[in-house]
Amino acid sequence: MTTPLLHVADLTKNFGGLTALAGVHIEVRSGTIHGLIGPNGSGKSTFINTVTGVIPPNSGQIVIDGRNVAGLRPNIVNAAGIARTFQNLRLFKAMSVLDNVLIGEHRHMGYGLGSALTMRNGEAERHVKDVAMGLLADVGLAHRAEAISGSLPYGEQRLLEIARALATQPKLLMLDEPLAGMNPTEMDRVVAILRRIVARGVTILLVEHAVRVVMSVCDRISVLNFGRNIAEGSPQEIQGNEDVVVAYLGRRRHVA
Amino acid sequence: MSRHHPFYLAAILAAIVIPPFLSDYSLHLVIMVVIFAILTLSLNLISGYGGLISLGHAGFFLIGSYTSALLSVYQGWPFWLSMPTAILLTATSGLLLGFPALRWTGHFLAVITIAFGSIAQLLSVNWVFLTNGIDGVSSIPRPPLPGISLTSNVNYYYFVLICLAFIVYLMMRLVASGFGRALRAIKDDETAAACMGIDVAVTKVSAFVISAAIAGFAGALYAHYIRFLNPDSFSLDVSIRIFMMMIIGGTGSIAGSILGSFVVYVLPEVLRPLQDYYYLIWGVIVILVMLFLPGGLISLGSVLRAKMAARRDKLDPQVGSTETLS
Ligand SMILES: Nc1ncnc2c1ncn2[C@@H]1O[C@H](COP(=O)(O)OP(=O)(O)O)[C@@H](O)[C@H]1O
Ligand SMILES: [Mg+2]
Repeated sequence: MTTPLLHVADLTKNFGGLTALAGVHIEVRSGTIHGLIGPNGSGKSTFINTVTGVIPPNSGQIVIDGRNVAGLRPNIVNAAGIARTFQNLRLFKAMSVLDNVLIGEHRHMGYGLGSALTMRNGEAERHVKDVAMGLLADVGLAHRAEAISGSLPYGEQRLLEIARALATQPKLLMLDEPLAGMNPTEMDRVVAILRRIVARGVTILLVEHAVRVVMSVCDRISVLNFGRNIAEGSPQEIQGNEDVVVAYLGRRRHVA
Repeated sequence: MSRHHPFYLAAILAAIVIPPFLSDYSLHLVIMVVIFAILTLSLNLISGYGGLISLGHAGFFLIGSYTSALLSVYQGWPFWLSMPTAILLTATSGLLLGFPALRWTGHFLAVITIAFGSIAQLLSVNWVFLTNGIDGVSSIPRPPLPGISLTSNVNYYYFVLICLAFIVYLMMRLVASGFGRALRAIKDDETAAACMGIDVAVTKVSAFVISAAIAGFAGALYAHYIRFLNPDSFSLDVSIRIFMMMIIGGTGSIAGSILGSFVVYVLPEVLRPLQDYYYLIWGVIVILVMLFLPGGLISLGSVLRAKMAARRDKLDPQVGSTETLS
């Protein structure tokens, strides 16, 4: 078996007296869509926040592609290959759709402050714009490139978050409830996009409540409850797992 | 943008054609407007685009002014050497002030920058061996320029105007560059920007350094114009005035910085004959702008157009207007 792309072990995060993550371990294999599910408040978003450096973990290892990034700043984690979207949309609302994607490309731009001052960035700027337009076309937002991102409808804002994250050229894309608030048609569109992303070699960690979608697109699924792993396996295994059913329904089925 | 062109063209033409016909006093005012426009642009880089407050820009202005003045008066350095040195030193002070800006924002940063400005002014009063204290520095020479004498104020006006044009160009480049975009992203959402790979610390500190450098440049232009410096010219009032110019003109707008400098510098002079009422009228103007034009005076045109468009839409609900950047 090959080493996993993302290897998280003993990840713990306390908020004051509340333990949001209690020694979580997850391995994401390269080229897969890995589901992360669990009831509300089980620590899924906290998992993404600690892995991406938004909040520092209390302890644990977070190894991406052989490099431990636990506790490092978000831009370093991004450079190491992890991009993400946010459960509560965090676009650059005052900026255009295109500019949002260009920000994602920032780290890869062949020019920085120096060339802005020496006035030699025309060519580079054209190139990054072409790449950004390509990403927008992939999520079906090319016609919205000049719109202010904050003025887009909700579903399109979620798609833009995905395009912006992809612009950072990640190895692993962590999506925090990308289908929230979408109708079935929009959901199908996103699922198709996710499949295309994986086909291009980007691995996905998918946090999602829409069980139907998770079961159909994920290769493997990890389940959290109260900040602990309670199950891990293929969609079939998870569907038949007693602990998972209990966690979601909040009671134990009567076993004779 | 294109809708503004006639207005901008007229303003640029006026700035070129009118000054030779102005009285000595009015000419002095417009030279000061140009110097303050450079200061306001420099503040706008960190505040308007980067969302970081500075109420210490008089400190950068002071360091730039004094450095160039002292080097040319006591060391005999030519302006073309003392001015770049002033920019370098001011940029260094911007680097030092940039680090607190990584930890603190909003009110805290405002207080820290006020403290910075006060310290700079205190040092200029107390380091008598260096600055000559409250007696100040006099006989600062005008910059030498082959073929053109900058001792004439009209010529000096055109000199600072060209400097302003250069800074405007620089700002336009910066704002449109990847760096400017990163700065705006940080202002919008720092965490999201960091998650997209932007080095927030480097970007913020760079903005402070560039802003300080530009303010230092304005300082050198001021010192060699006014030819006499003392600490009084660099009080907290000056920092607040630069801040007002940015707010009144247009936060995050290059043209707004220039308009704001003009209005805030010249309007009080126009209103001065009204004596006591002057403060009242000035206060009312400031409050009106803050309440109804959050984008400053420069946004007046687009706000009015949007109002009119909204009225049209109400009459004809078929035609909606979508928000776009252009
Ligand atoms: N920044 C925070 N400060 C304090 N408590 C938090 C914070 N973020 C999350 N929590 C708490 O941690 C627990 C896990 O939350 P979260 O990770 O958002 O769950 P999920 O995404 O699975 O719904 C919840 O009890 C939540 O209230
Ligand atoms: Mg969540």
